[in-house]
Parts: sequence; structure tokens; C-alpha cells
Amino acid sequence: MGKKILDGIRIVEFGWAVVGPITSSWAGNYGAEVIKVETNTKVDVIRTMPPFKDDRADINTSLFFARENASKYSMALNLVHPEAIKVAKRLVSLSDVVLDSYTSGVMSRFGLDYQELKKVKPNLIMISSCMYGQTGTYRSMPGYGVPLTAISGLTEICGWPDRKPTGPYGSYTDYLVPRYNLLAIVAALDYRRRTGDGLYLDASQYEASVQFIAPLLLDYVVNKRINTRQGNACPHAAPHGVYRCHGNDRWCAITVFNDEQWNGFCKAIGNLPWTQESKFSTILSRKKHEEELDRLIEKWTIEHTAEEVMIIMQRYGVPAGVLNNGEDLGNDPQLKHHHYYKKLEHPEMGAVDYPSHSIQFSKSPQEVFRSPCLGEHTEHVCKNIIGLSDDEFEAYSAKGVFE
Amino acid sequence: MHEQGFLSSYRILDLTDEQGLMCGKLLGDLGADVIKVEKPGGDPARNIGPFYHDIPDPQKSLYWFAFNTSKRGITLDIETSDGQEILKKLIITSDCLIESFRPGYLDGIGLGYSDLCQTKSDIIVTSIVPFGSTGPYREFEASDLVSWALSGLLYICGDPDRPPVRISFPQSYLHAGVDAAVGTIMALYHRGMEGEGQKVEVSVQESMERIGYASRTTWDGRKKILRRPGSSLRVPPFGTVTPLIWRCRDGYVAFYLFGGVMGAISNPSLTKWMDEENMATDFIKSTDWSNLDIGRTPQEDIDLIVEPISKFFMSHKKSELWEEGVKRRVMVYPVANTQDILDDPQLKERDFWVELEHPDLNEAITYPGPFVKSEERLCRLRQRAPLIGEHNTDIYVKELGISKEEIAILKQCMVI
Repeated sequence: MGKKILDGIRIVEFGWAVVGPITSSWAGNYGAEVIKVETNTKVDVIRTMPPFKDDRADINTSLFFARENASKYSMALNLVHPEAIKVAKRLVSLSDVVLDSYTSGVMSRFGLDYQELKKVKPNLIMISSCMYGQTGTYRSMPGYGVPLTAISGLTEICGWPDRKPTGPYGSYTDYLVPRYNLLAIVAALDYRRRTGDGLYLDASQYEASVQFIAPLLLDYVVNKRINTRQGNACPHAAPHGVYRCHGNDRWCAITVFNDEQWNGFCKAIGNLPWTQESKFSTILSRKKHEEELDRLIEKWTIEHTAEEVMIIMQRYGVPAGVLNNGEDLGNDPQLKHHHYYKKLEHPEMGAVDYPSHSIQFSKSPQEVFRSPCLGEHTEHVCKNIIGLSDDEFEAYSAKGVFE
Repeated sequence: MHEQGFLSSYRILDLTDEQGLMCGKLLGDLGADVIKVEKPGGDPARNIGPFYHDIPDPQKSLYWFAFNTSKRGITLDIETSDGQEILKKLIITSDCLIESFRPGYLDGIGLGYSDLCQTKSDIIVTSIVPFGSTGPYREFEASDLVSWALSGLLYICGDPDRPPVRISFPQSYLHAGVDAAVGTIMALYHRGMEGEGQKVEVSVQESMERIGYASRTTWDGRKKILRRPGSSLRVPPFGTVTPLIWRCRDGYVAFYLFGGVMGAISNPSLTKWMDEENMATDFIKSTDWSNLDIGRTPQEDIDLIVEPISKFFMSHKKSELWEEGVKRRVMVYPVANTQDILDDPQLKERDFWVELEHPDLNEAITYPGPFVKSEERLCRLRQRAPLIGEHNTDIYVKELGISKEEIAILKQCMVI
């Protein structure tokens, strides 16, 4: 394997919580040198969030932080301090990309907005990823992933039709938006490579998130239809659901989209007499009798482990999959085959599982390295990248710039 | 040098199905010349609903419309020898091919990465695969629900007393599609720097694994199985339950009853607002929000807070709570449906929506706009999705110079 694709690209992250930090972490996996600027005076909220290694809460022991902040360096810089802004600007002048995920207005209060930063780095690429974008009435409204999932229409369509929506787990859009942010960054890098120009990217997390229901938005525009949640049902497939299997809270998903898969399904469960009934022979009749169908299937699945159900279904060409839980994921044969989780030593947590990113290149490696402790690389960045002398570093340090 | 888009200088051949349409759409919106290559008669994804005016017609799928903007479209049967020859001609002028066939399919018909390299040595081939082109699940059949399951996300979604539940609109291909667009551009960047093309592969299972972040970490760090929490939160260490989704007069709102620093942002302001409408109880007025530790507060006390807030939310519509909440910095957010999103003032103020002309329908349709804003609109929806074979003449006749007589033969032989 050759060099990593983003080798030679330096990204300064003024990140907060999840979206900003993940975006740069993924870039780090592909070789970008990512420097996370953070401070002890107002610790990045994700460092304070569970789960903690062995339930021991500390700024360097959050597994949540670790997972989303691999492959980057941490520089402590207290941006409230005027001299810290000087240091930040010197760093930016030596970098390619600045990423901020603060609420709109925060970077300009620090004097670190694009107009200012462009003065020290004319072809800078800067991306600001806040909830609602840099303009408009709601631009400075605070928020986080859970409500953004709600306002983006995704919570409404997750759950059971006879109940209030549950929404997907946690801050769903926090895992959708970074993909778009990274897309914008790499598009801008290639644009700069060809044209020499940097630019500013106003990335509204809201505008990225609603892309994931685009056809439903068109359905409202054109047909005035408002879609809502429908459990695990799919309008053109049956069976299509999650079935309880043998054991405690064990499940397997089974989905049948056509006759071939239905015939495979019937064979997989040993052609039980009910599978031959005419009310299950066509897609239209299976949809009509879907509840009964689901009950009958579960009578069979409950006698088997989820793994057995998946394997036998797949043997007969039926899309089926175990609902992997946190323990299963580590044993999943496919993820193991890809060495998806990397067990890396962390100085304060010991061995920690870090996931890879989903893109594999045939000629360019991906490398995950462990998440940093707060301020772990401050001195390295100051002396080896910015080029501060020992005296300058000590002087800034004494003034509290690196807190 | 001035360019119209981030990727103006590139041509991409899009051979994907439902699993990869998003990838090509994004590359097109970013400015690349994306040519959607469909089977004669049209791609099966054209049969996915909803449909324009509910007319189930392959030229009227709103699913197709949404994920094929900024592409041109040609029809080609790549299983015929003539079709393969034409595809190879197109490869010469292309930078990248994106596909989502079964692993090994293209190799099987002589159009795999190594075959295409013979035609164009620095071609980039991006593949979206459910699990991997190698490995024990290589041959597994997948669907959106199955990808949710094996990624670990599904296990932690839904009410505790019901089976785990997914979002009712397929999501997994979209996550993987954006990742595939990232991979494609990175490979283009690499080719620009180093002069070599390569294969790019995105696993849908791995794209999805990132979302259920707490599942693996909870096992890894605490040896505990994380289970689906439903629409409430169980706050450690005592497990005090607070609602996350609350009823209001015309639907639901999302509101997280934080304690501590976060609670000190919204809660005093919410209390004041409730008090102005005579709906704040003495208990809620006397609560010391910044010192409230929900996880260590007995359930009965939390219930005394939850009850008046519930009543207050029930007395308002979600739009009232949202608009007034913005003014008062109370973090109460609507559980929006598609109508709410279309009506949202912020998106209108930012000119998010774009009108695309559909001459065949005699209508312009409003679409969600680009995912990012930049100077000179380098990312934008350039045109509506192509009709079946809409650009056959442009590509086959005008560009490749195939004669009209030959086109007629190819059409009769079901090649195009």
C-alpha cells in the first residue's frame, strides 16, 4: 500500500460534541493531520458523556469521546485568552482546512471567522457546521442531535403507528451530517487542487439531514401526502420484520420481496403446512394477512437461535440478519474479516475498540490511531508545527494560553 | 481558473441501483457530468414509490426523482457484447465508474476493475456492497432492514416492550451512498496528485455501524448490553425516567429535561414562560435547575416537574412551542412531519428549496436544495432526473458517432 490519500493535509478542528469531531476523525483515518483545538476551561461536552471505561468518569476516559475522536491530535488553547487567538492564527496559516461546529457567531466573537482567517491563509478551506446554518432567524439557536433528528422529520417516521414516535437511537443525525461535511471538504480540496482557490462552506446540519427523506418531501409537495411511522412494515414486501428468536431479547430480521425469496423462505422453515395456504401465496394476500403471517413465523423463529435463523434463511436466498448487540458486533464474522474494530492501547483506559471507517481503497491505506488525552499534543504542535521557541512556549504557558 | 462546480472536470458512469443512487446524485450536484446507465426499459429503482400524482409509472417515481438529480441518462444492456463495447468506449472519456451489483458480477461479464484498466489504466471504480466483496457474508442477501440489523443499530431502536424498529423509510443506502461519494472524490484527488486510479469499496454494514455508537462502546468499556430505550430516557445512576418525546396539542415535541449546566439554559426560561401563562406550579418555580441532578433525584420529584410541563406542552401547538422557544432559548423542538419542514421559515429564509423544471410534466417541482452552501453555488441541483434513455442521442450519436442506422439495430436487439 502506498501513502494515505490525505497525507500532507492539515485540518484544524474547532469542534464540539459529535458532528465536528467525527468529521475530522474520519479525515484523520485517511491521513489528514488533524489538530483538535480544545480547552480545560470549557471541556468539550463529549468528554463528559458516558459510557466511561469501567464507569470511571474522567475527561480522558469517555469511550464516547474516544470512538469519535480517533486519529487526531489535541491542542489545549483557551480561546477566551487574546494571546491564544494569535497562536490559533499562526496554526491556521500553516493549515489547509478549518472546521468549526460551534453555534453561528461563536467563531467571529473569537475573531476567527473566515474573513479573518483568510488574511493569514488566502487559499484556506473553511467549513462551519452548525445546526441551522450561518444565516436566518434560527442561526444561533443551540441544539444537538436528538432534537435535530426530530426537526428533520426522522423521528416522526420511526416507531409504531399506534404509539408516539420513538425516533431512532440517540442523536441519529450526528452520524448522517459528518458524511456530508467530509464530502464537502474533499470536494473543496480537489477544487483547490485544480483551481488554487480555497473557499468557505456554510454547512447547515438541518439542510443535510432532510436529504434523507427527500422522496417523502416530494410526496408532500406533489401529492400533499404526509408520511408517518409504520413499524417495520414495507409496503411492497411480506414478511418484512423483526422476529423473536430463542434466548433473552434475541431477534432476527427477515425480509421477502418476491416469489423466489418466498419459495426460499418456505423451504428454509421446512415447508410447514401453513406456508402452503393460498392466503400466503401472493404478495397481495401476504400483505392482507401480514399479522397472522408474522405470528406464525415467530412460532418457528422462537425455537431457533437468531444465528440459526439467519444462516438457514441466507442458505435459501432470503435476506435475513441477526440483530447484533454490542457483544455480537465484536464477534460478527464479516466485521472480524475486515478487522473492523482495532484494539488500541490508550494511556488512561487500556485497550479500547476503535471502529474503522467504511471506505476501503485498493491502493491507499486507512489507519486508525487512538484518541488523544486533553492537551496531549499542545507542546508538539506549538514547537514542531507552529515553530514557537522554548521561551515563547513557556511565556504563553505562564499566561494561561494553553489551559 | 473558473469552474461551475466542485467537480466540473469529471465524468462519472453511474451503474448503481437503489443502493447507490445517492452517490451519483451528490457527485452530479457537485458538478460532475454523471451519466446514469440503465437497463433498456429503465432501472428497477424507477418502480419505487411514492409516485407523481400516485401514478405508478417508471417515469414518475418520486424516489427516482429525488436521488437522480443532476444526472444524464442512457440505456444500455451491459450483458450484450455490443453493450460492453459501448461501455468501454464511454470508459475512455470517464474518470470513474460507480456500481452496486453483487460482488463479482462485473468481473463475471468482463467489466471488472482489471478489465476496465485495460481500457483506461487510471480508471476509478467505486463499489457499494452490503457487507464486503470478500468475507463470510460476501454472498449474503441484504435489504435495508437486514443492514440495520447486522450493523447493530436496530437492536437499540424502539420501545422496550415491542420488537426493535427501524425508520420507516430506507436509510442504509443513503448513508453508504454519501460515504461512496466521499471515497470517489478522495480517489479522484489521489489520482490528481499521484496519477493512479484505484478501486474504492464501501460496506453498507460498516457505514451503518457508526450510528449505534453506544452499543459497542457500552460492551467494550462496561461489559453491558445496551437495549432499546423507547421514547423516554433512563438517567443513571438511579435510573430516573424522563420523557424525551412529549405530546403537544397537534402532535409531538422533543424536549430533554436536562439538569446541571445544560438544564440551566432552557429550564428557568421555560418556567418563566409557563408562569406567564399561569401554568407553573410552586414546585417547579422553586426548583434549583443548575443543581438538579436528574439521575439522583427520586422519580416522584421528577414526576412533579414532568407533569406541569406536560400540561403546558399540551396547551400549545408544536409550531407555537418551536417559534416561541427560539425566542426564549428553550430547547423544545417539533417532531416535524414533511408538511412542517416545507413550511419551516428558516429553510425559506435561506432559499433552501429549489424549483426544477419537468418539461414532460409541464410543471416545476420544489426539491430540497443542496446539502452545503458555498460561494458561486458550486454545489447545486443542476437538472431534474433523466427520463429513460433521455440522452441516448446526445451520447451515442453526437458523442460516440454511432450512426442512426446502427442505433436502430441496437434498439431492436435490446442493447439500448
